[in-house]
Amino acid sequence: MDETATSSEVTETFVSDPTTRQFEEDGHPPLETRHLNMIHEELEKLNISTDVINKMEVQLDLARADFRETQVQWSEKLKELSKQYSSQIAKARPFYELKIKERSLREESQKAAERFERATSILGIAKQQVSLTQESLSRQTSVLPECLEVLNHHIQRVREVEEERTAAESLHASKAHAMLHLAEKIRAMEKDNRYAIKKSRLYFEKRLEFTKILEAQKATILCLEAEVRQKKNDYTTSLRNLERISERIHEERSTGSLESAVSSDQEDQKSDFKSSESLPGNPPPYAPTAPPPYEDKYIIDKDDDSIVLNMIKTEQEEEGEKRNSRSLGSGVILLAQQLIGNGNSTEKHNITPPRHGEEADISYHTRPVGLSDGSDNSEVSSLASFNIGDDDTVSKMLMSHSELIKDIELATDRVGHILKPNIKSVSNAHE
Amino acid sequence: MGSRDDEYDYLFKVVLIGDSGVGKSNLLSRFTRNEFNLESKSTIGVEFATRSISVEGKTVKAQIWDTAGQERYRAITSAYYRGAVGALLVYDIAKHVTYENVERWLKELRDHADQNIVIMLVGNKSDLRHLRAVPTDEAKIYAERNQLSFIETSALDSTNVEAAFTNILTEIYKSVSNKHVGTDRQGYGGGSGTIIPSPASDPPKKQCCIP
Repeated sequence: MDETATSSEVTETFVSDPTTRQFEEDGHPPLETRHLNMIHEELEKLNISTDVINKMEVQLDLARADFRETQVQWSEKLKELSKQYSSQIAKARPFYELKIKERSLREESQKAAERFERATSILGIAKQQVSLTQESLSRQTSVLPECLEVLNHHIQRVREVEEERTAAESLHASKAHAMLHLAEKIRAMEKDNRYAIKKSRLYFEKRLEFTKILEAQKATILCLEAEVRQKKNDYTTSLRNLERISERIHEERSTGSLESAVSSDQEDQKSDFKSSESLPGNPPPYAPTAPPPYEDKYIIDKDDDSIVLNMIKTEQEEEGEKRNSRSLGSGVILLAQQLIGNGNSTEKHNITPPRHGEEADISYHTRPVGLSDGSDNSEVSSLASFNIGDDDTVSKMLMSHSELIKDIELATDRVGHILKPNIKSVSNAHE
Repeated sequence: MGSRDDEYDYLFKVVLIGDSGVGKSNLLSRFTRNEFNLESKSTIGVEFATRSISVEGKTVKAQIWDTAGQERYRAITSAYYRGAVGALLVYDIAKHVTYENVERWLKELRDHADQNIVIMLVGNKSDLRHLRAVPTDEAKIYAERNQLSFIETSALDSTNVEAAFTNILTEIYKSVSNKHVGTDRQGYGGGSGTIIPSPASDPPKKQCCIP
């Protein structure tokens, strides 16, 4: 514990020292592949969320503008109509209002009927369960209290469902009664104002249509808003995940898992030197890359070594498992699966057979764009150097990563597709 | 989850690039608050800073990525540039070599970033008048030739820092909001900015949330 505290302090002072500030970026060991993959995954999720948020916002703007436009144009149209038939409209208004009420009442009654039917069928099953339990109990010579509990449970269930069924029945009855009452009223009204109702029909029909269109547009807006909220949450989550990764790397560096990095860092620097000419903007010629002074302080003897090795190994295994289970549920994959549909998700399973040994090479070729040879190789070699015999885990991790990138790419494509039909539906609302 | 964090309309990813030592991080801290408490740049190779500004009644949240640009992080270079709608390409007016490297950074952007990315060339450390190695006019002409915006800033005395960020964000806002309206409307709205709702018999069912 004491050691941890002092070593982290060393790092802190090193980082904050202004004269060594420029070395700081090079002062740390290279990222392990598993960290790199996690970071990559989260960064890509951030990118997707950002992209979707902006696209949705543009759509929301369109949808809101359409809504306002519809409102303006229809209210003008309705105003014209109402001028023409003002007195008839006034006379017929109660009639049409009742008509709307009747419609909603009918829907409610329909729902109550469905509820009743559902309860009836559930009741049948519950009763059957009771009689089956009773039968089996009667066959038993000595009745266990647990079995009686089961019977009690089923009986209780029957009672509950019966209650539900009665409630639905009475609701339906009351709705039906209200409808009957309403229908009578409507008939009477129709008889008294036959002319006005006929004359103002166009106006009220248009009004209803207008309401429907407006409601559809409103639903689109609400839907988009909900999705944007979701994406903003995803974004925040990814950011938090990155923070956690960063924290963990900090921690690992300060607790002395550095030994693996010391050797590979030299390789890394070699490859740095080799590729610096061909790569743009890197590294700045006047920023010397000196080995970090604090690394010398970490002298790890053999015994410590093996402990650390085991630590890393188990941690990686855990990590691999976590990744496997987590990536299935993660936003990007979900999005990808949602967008791609079932067809592609089976395809995805097809390309994930268990991988062994030398097959890990394959994953090098499927790495994401922009991965430079020099650094990648050094990452891999550094990983392999302390992880011999654990190729399986490594290859699994690498595979899941490249698959992930593929998924992300697919998702990005599909996001484009999903967004287009949306716009279509928004503008279609007027056609 | 962050309810206050979510109070924005657009989210613009802007990358901060340029040789190290030109004052990128100082520029950033002048304009924003840091998203993380830690030195994430040294661990994950990128630091995030945000600030929300208002453009034409919309709240625009700028998510600025300050990258380490180090060799070992190159594996995730594509992720840094993907989706960036803006880039601040910073050089030091007192160090000519940082200006010379602008060309290479532009190539990096061309290789990895979106074609429509808005780029602003930023000559930082304008307070170092007596040490100036890059004439303003030269940089300005270069920027014009390469269709970049241009500004000189001083993170030390805050000159133009605010302007640099608000200018680029406004520019991005215009391109993002207009581009989408233009293309999408033409594709689906019958080619005009105004859509007249026709009195169709039944309104189409919305096809929004995919289950």
